[in-house]
Amino acid sequence: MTDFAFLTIADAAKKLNAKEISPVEYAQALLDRISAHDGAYSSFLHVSADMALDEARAAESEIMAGNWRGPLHGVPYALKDIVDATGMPTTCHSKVMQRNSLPETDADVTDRFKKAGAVLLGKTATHEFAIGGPSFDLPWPPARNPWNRAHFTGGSSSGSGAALAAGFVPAAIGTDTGGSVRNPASMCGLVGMKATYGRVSRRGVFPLSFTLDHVGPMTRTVEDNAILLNIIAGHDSQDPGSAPIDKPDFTSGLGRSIKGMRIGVIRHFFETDMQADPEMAKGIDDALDVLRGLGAEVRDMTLASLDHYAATNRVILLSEAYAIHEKWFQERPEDYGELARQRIMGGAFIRAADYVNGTRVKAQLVEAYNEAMTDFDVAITASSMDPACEIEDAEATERTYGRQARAPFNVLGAPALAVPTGFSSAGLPLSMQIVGKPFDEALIYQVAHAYEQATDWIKRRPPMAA
Amino acid sequence: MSDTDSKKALEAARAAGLGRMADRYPDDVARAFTFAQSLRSRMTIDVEPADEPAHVYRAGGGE
Repeated sequence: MTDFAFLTIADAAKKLNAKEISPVEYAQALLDRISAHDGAYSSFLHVSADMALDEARAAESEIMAGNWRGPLHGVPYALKDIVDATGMPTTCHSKVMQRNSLPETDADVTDRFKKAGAVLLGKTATHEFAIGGPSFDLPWPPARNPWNRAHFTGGSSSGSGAALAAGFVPAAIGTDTGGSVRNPASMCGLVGMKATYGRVSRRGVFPLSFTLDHVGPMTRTVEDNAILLNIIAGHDSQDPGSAPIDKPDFTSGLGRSIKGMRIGVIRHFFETDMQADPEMAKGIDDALDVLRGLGAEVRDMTLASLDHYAATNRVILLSEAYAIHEKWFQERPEDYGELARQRIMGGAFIRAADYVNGTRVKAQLVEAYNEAMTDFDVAITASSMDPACEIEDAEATERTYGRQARAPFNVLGAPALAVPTGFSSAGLPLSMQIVGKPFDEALIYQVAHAYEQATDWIKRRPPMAA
Repeated sequence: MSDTDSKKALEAARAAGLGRMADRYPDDVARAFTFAQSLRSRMTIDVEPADEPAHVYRAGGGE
């Protein structure tokens, strides 16, 4: 009997194409699982069973007629609820948007899923407007971590992380402006890619920061992530940030040797600029040993300080976010939760000169990074500095909120992948980032896949799945 | 935060059209103001007059 809950996209595609499983039974099994378990995890804001089953039936008809569209045909997925999909509201997990009408068009990423024949199960929880959370003062509760529901999922793509870890979907979409795909990936034991700025269209996605926003794939394995990026990447003439550049096959390097690969370690991010939790740091060092064992050449490299990157990210992010929210902040501040209100409002007090200088600093940082990377193929650093804290411990969530090394890669626009590196003594996921040169996601996947195949972390299941 | 700084924060909020926010959420305003000030000191700005901002396609390949 097929374990639909933890089927990978790669395996599902083979079984669907071979007609060993049906898209309808696959969708129904996951809908049943969501119905049975999501009350404890709050990963979904909206589940649309009827729409999903209609899409699954359409996929089944096509596949049975011999018209298999590709690896996502008949495969269920979820969208972070800042991404538009016709027939479902886009709430941004906020009272501000709760009564808005349904979107009239799909986001570019949703359109690409539909063309691939995938089956949308629903929309997932987020931190309010992808910045304020985890919050208990919003119309919906925050998502909880399937590895321990007393713990935080990370965010802001919190529901996408929880839904994947819980076995509710094999594929989900998140967005990432200061690390919001990679944070829940790190805290929920998943693979999350923030591809190069411009690689994936942001059209139809509620903006947080125009120059830092990325849409990214979240999955349980590296191969699945590469499959998903193959589907969602591509130029979109209606997104001014979309890069007019060809996309490769992101799965092309999977299974290839990494012998001789030059891997930089941005150690100062997690040893001196910030000090990672010892178990998190050990997970990275153990991963580096694995990569050395696979023949990679590993040595330290140096970039600007993590705090310099973080401040640059926040100056730009908050200035742009505030510009988007200013009217609502003036007219209806009470409709925001406390955390979104506090965080976005910082942008009201950043001077225009500081914003412009932030973008000039960003240009310098990009140039310095590209220069530093000429000596390396990829680089490795921490993602989160700490395993997931308890979600109801407001002091701990606030203290650990900024303890991360993801924001630099939003400033740089460079690709960055969060990959599981094991588990803490408390049974919570550990992780690292593998980062690369602009538009070189395929090489990151090659390294990540080699590491993943040499370890067994992806075989573990959260206790709720037992 | 001192009373003087809180007052400064609330004045800045009102000047930005956030009077309703300042009246209802003075603590949030103070906190956001303090954070914004700290960001300015944390971002090292060492640019020449002709140094341009990063443009949308600066990541490479799409200029």
